[in-house]
Amino acid sequence: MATRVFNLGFIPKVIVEVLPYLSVTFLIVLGTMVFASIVGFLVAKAKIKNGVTRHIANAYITVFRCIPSIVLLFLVYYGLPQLFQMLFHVDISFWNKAVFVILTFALLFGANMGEVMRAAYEAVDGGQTEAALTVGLTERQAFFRITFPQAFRYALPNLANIITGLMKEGALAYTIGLIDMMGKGKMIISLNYGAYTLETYLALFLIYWVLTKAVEISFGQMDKRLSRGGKTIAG
Amino acid sequence: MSLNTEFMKETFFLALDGVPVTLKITGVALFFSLIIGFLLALTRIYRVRIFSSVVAGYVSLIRGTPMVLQVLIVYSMVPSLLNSIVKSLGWQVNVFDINPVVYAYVVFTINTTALITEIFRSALLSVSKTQLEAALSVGLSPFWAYVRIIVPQAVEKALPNICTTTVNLLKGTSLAFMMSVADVTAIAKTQASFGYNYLEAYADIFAIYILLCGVVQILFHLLERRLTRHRRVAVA
Amino acid sequence: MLELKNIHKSFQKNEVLKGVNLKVEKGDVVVILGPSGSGKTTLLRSITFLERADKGEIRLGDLVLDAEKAGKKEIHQIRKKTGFVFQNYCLFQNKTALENVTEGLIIGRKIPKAEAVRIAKEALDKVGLSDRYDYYPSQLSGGQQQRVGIARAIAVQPEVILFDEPTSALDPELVSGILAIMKQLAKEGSTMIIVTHEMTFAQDVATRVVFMDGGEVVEEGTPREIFSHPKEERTRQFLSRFISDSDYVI
Repeated sequence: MATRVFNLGFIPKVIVEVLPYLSVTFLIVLGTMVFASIVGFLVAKAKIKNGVTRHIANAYITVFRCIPSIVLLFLVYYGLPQLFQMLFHVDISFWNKAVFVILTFALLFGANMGEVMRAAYEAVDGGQTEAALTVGLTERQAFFRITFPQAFRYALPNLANIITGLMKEGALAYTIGLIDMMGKGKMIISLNYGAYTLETYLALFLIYWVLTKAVEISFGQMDKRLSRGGKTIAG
Repeated sequence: MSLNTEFMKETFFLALDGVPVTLKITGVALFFSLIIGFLLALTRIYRVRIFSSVVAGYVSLIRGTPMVLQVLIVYSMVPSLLNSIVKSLGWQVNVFDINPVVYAYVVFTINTTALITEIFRSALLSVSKTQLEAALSVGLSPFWAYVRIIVPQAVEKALPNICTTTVNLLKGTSLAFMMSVADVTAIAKTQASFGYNYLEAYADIFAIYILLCGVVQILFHLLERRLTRHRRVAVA
Repeated sequence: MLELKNIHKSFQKNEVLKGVNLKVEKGDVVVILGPSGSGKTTLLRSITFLERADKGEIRLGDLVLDAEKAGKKEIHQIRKKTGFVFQNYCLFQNKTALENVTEGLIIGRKIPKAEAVRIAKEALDKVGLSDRYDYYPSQLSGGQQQRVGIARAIAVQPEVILFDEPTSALDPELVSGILAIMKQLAKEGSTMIIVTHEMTFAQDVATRVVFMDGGEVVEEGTPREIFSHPKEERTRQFLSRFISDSDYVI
């Protein structure tokens, strides 16, 4: 590693080259959120009901809170094809890398989602459902029209955390060769024989920071807009 | 092809050798983060000029960016920076001989300090102001009011979040392999690529992290029980 | 019109209702009295299956429901024919006062929106909230919230309105306003079942008073019979604790 002058002008260049890959990062976040929500919904449902499923859900949460993202990513990416080969004699190693990434993070963040959903559901007073039933709504209508909108509001700040967390952890996807912003950054570095390593990383650092802020701010705005129903007389 | 249990067992014990490294990084980073984080939290609460906004910016940057980037940046910046400093001082030290684990200490301290600062800040703010006033009114100096009344209450409130942060730190140290530190992940990863026994190797790491994480959580649980004794005594 | 037969209900091992029978005719205002834990609220809630009774029969008009076996559809039917006013109002926090009332009309009963809004405004006007249509529950006082609660219950033109201690969460100065509205409803001929501790109101408004204790109906009769000449010792003891008013004490 030879010492050389730091080139500030290279940072904007990297940003311009990397930004088109924002869509990949975005799709990974979106895809993961969809599947994590499904996992989370099942976890929350299991935890709300009393029974064996509750213990399973708890075990799932405990285990997946303990595993580093990168370890699970490697386990899924390298291990799952091996497992499929072993059990079903099917080769899945050629599947799009995004599939493995989304699967990994859906499993990880599904545990968080489950906890967030459960907490939000329990934050809504049980009387709300009862009242909805007494005015003639069905249970499904009561859930979707009364409980869910209120629970969603409670969950909003935590959802913002999950999304920013996912974005940040998602940066690991390059380690299995996915070409998202990080992956592109790594390519730029090797194309320059490592000459602009620090500049490239700093450019990515900047992009991620702006993205996180953007998510936080937009969720804050949404929270404000939705808080009509929860305002005090003073508000 | 089936699961190579022999390899799995072997790798498990090999990877266990990495546990001290993982724990050392976690411990060192946590130790410094708690001290620095507490002091930084104070500068935030007392709005120490300029310093407060610098700290706020630092916390925001660290919390808003991927840990892996922080690792990569420190690892690509600090050694050469150190090298040029050492050279300009005319010292006869080869910076590149430094054990990379030192850089791991640095990255994870930088990262965890930001999180701890935020935790302490909100914990300190949550301790009611009247507690300080009461302490001062019985004749404690501000210093002792903090040491004896405010801080213990704040720590109690911060503990669950510190536990979460510690677990995340423990998990985060798995990125140390990128700095060629031989921690649990690095050892199992190397083993895996020898024989393409990925499933077995990563299942091993999986198990080790669950064990470590379990221990951390139990320790914090015990600590919490100790610190909240006064609540139970009051009830009994 | 409404008839409860042999209603049983236990929570774990605690038997809360031990075979309660109750008959309510059209236009009746039935006040249920009794010490806390006597099963009044559970009885009221079991009518609309907010609590499913373990055994018994519930009849409302031509609907006959077996408490044990009643299916989703039947339960939905009976809920559409009853109004329920909650102790802690239970207004939909995410809806305005007007939306709270229209919800059951538009979604529950498929009444066209314009028509529903008209009905809802009428109901809110009736409880004195013509200037609060677009307020959210958190912007209303307790008394106003309970008024919305009543408007929500009456707007659907239920065959019977159930009141579960409608004033016990309110500040004392707000109670009389709510009671006045209920009295007005009674005057207009609404069929009502009311669980309450407001003795004066019970004497004034009830056509029939039911005294419950320990999960069963101890005694029932006209207000005069119950308050002036209670037959049972338990009723007497209960009333003497509540009423200092010499007129009604033997």
